[in-house]
Amino acid sequence: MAEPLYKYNPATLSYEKAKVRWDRVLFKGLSFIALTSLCFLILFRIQGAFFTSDKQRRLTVENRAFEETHATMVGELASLRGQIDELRNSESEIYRRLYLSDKQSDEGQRSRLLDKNDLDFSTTEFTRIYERTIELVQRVSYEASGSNYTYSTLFWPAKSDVEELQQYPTLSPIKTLNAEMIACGYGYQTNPFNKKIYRHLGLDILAETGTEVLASGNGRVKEVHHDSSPGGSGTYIVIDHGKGFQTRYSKLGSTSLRLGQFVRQGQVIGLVGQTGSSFAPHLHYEVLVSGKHVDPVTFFIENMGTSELEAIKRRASEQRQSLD
Amino acid sequence: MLRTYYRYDPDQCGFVPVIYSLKEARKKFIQFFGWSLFTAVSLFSGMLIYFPEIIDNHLVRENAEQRANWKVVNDELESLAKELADLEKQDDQHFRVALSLEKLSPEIRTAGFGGHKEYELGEAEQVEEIKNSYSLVASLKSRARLQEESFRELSKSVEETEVMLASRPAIQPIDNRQLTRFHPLFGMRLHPVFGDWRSHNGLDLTANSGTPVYATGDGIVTVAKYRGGYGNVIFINHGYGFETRYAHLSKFKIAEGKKVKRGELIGLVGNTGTSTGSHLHYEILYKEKWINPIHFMYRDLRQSHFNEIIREAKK
Repeated sequence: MAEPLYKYNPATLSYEKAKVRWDRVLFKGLSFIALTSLCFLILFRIQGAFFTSDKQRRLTVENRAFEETHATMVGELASLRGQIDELRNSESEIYRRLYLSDKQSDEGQRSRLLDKNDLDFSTTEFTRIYERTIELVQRVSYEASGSNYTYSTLFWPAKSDVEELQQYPTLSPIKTLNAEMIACGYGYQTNPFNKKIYRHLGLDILAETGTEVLASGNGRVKEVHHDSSPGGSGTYIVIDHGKGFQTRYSKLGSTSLRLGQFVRQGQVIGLVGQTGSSFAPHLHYEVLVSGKHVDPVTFFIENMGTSELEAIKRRASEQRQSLD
Repeated sequence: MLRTYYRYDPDQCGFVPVIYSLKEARKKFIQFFGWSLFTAVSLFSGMLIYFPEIIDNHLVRENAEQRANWKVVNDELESLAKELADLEKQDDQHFRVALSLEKLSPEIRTAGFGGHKEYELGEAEQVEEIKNSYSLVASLKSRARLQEESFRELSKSVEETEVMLASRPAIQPIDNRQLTRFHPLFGMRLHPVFGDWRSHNGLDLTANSGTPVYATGDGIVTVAKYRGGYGNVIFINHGYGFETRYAHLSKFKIAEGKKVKRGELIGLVGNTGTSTGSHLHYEILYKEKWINPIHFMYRDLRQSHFNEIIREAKK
């Protein structure tokens, strides 16, 4: 190799040292690399075929298992999806027949508000205004929730005022009130018996028989009426909170209150039942200001989150069949 | 054209052409091959020593891919599980409360399912994810089946409730416009004929003779005849403990044993029996005890709605 090679040049009639031909070197190099890679690959294959580690074996099994079961699982998912969709249909059907009203989904309403794709306007100006508005709304609601907290801390030290504040019927009469439990709100609703519109003067809260009913504010018991007959208000209590505020709790299962007794906000005053004209166990709750009925939902302030209250208000504003 | 190379041969003191013999060429090739094999082996062993994971890299990659695919499936499965849980919650905490039905206990809800064993998984059983997903599918399927049954039960119960609501006396038996006097007097009163204190077990609705009287709820006419102090009287059994009575009628428009709907014409106001003027004496009994009908008349019902009920009953 080290020996130099010569080339005969016919023009000069002499032997000249041959120059290194780079293309040949390159060719040689490339074939070396190719051959090496080939060997490498073959080695790789041999190694893979004859020596498999536990890890490799496990991975192979796993991969095969995933591959084999995936299709069945997708099929099962589809059939389950169908089953659950059907269940949802029967759920809305039952709901509709129970309340003579369609079930509204909260998420749907929220996304409808915030999804700009629903709107037909496509000008950039509109989009800009829209986005600005949404931003403002979000900021305001954020700040409002912050100030809610601030106010609650501000109010807290004023202990002397707490007594006076507790006089107002600001607590919800059922401890774990949520929107789902609002069977029917205040206002024009459907009478369950004759299916016609009438003025429903209170709020129907669906709850299990025996659920505790709380006094919504401090006050004196003005009326206690025990009645197990199937018509009218059934067993009910009226609490006079003073300053023209009264609350009425009807369709109770039982109560141990006596006339003239003083009750504190949050005190258990009775149990939910199904007395009077009602077709499901519930509490019929009314608030009267100076003898006039008002929407009780507007009074719920105590122990209630903003979003939950919003959901409750939304539910109460739907027209439905009352439980009477 | 094949170029000929020359080599200086010191023995001959001259240039001799280089001729490759076959043997030499083979030797050269084997040498070349040997070098590349050596390089490959050393590279490979180096790789085995320093980067052993490269060996099963493709398996690992495929595995990761499969796992990612499976995660998509499993996420979908979990969202279905959440939906089903919501449905169960709605069923237990809402419908069953509203319809006064016993709640389904968790034992019942999870009963009768054998986990992933319902599936022939084979060696796939070794893979935790697959086992869990199939286990979840099996439980969801059995829960969904149960939920289906539960909803069937609920829908039957709703139907019964609808019948109950339709049966209950819920309108005034006489059109408000034809009512000449309404005095909501129920309980003890001085009797206008006998002149002593007696319990008045119904309400008197004063109207001209011949005014139509309507059934106040769906039911079956059990009595439609002249009966002592009641005069011509109709008894309607509404079921669910309710019975209504319409007394002092001048005429029957329905026969005993007939089914009636709310708002159906059943008779005409009269002055038969112990009565001092033409009026309807309306009674409601619940479990064979008289109760005040005032709570069952819904006097705030709009005229147009009342008319609608009467019209619908005619069909």
